[in-house]
Amino acid sequence: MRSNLKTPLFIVLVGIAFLSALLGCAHRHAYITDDMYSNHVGDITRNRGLDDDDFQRCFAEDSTVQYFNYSDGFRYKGEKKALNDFFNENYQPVHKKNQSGYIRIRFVVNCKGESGQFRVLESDEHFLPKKFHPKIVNQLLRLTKKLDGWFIVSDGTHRALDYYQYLIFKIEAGEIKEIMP
Amino acid sequence: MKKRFVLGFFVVWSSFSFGQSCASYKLNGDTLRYRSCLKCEEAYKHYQFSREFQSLMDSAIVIDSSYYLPYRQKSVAYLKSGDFVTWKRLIDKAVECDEVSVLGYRASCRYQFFRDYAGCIEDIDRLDSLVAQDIGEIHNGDYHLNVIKAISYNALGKTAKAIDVMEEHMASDNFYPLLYDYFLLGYFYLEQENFSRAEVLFRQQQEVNDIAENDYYLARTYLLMGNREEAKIWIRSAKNKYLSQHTMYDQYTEPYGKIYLGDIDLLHDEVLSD
Repeated sequence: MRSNLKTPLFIVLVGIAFLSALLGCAHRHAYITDDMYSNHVGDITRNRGLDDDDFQRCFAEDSTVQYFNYSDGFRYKGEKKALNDFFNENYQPVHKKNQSGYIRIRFVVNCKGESGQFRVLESDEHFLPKKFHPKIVNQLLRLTKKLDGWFIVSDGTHRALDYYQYLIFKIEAGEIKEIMP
Repeated sequence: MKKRFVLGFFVVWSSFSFGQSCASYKLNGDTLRYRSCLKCEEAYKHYQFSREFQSLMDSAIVIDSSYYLPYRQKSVAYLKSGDFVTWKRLIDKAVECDEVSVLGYRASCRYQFFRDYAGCIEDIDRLDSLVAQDIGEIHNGDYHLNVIKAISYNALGKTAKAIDVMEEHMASDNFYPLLYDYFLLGYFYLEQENFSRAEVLFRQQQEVNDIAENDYYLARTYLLMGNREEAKIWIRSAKNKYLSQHTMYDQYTEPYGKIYLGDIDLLHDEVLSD
């Protein structure tokens, strides 16, 4: 009697284990991705509605590197101090309710040191998507577009490259508290 | 021939080593984790920003959605490109899967890339409550986690608390100075106008990592102590070190306390003025 029960019992146990594994994957931290991946994370593609026609990359979009790939990190004429001073002198705080969080402006700097193709990302202090008051975002965007001290990044053979650069503004009550990187 | 042998040995050894780190899961009978780990290693052959890397990490997640590593590894490209929204979503998943393995890393990213000081402190305190051993250093080894906790308190205007955290850390049995420890504590004491203590710490820093920032703040300390002659010596030294690139540096972000040539020149003028 016992030997007849062993095989079906074994099969049942294996089946239960298999189903458990499947169900376990389903309820344990189900991962959701809503990204359609570009070739590289953060790729910016030309948008005729947003972008200035005068700005051109020197190379194909896929060849654009990150600001930290070859250079000594973040490099701006007059160093970070000059950039901070520029925003301190020109940004007018916007004292409206609930204007705290992070605003990233990311853009391309081409092989001539010109900048273009600006894109904005906004979040609250907990990094959840949020829309800031347009007066804040538009100011920061306008001022960022005015920056003209971007260094040229070159590869190991001294060939000038296009690169992605970003600025993140930490905003508290409508004021700039810090500028990263 | 010898070079090829060494290179070949290294390639084989590396493959064996990576295989071994996943093999531990297999030895423990966790087949899903083992397969997911192997998928992560397959992803490492690609640039972390690439579609291939991200997709292979997704495959690792499909195999074992409770494994922290692929979420953490996916998050890095978003971190480095400043996409705080996607980064946080991914790193939070990693923390959910394994707090002890990821909290220190999330704390250091919050501090370094986003200056989320409150979040950094919260993560470090949470990690401290979970482990009995030393909580360790940040991901690039430049600071101990207690040091970025102290920095965060200072940045939030709680300098006395920052000093307490640093002093306790430096008094611990396991303490050994990293790149900027004495400098930072000196900076905090300077802010509290404890000039004598600041001076001692800046001098200690010179023995460990002799940077322009340290000489700059030493000059400032002497100026505030009324010792203009010493201030002149150290502001000139700061400039020389800055120009010869003996200065705080990070490839991705701005180290806390970093100064620039413009700052040196301003202090220089102040020191030389009557």
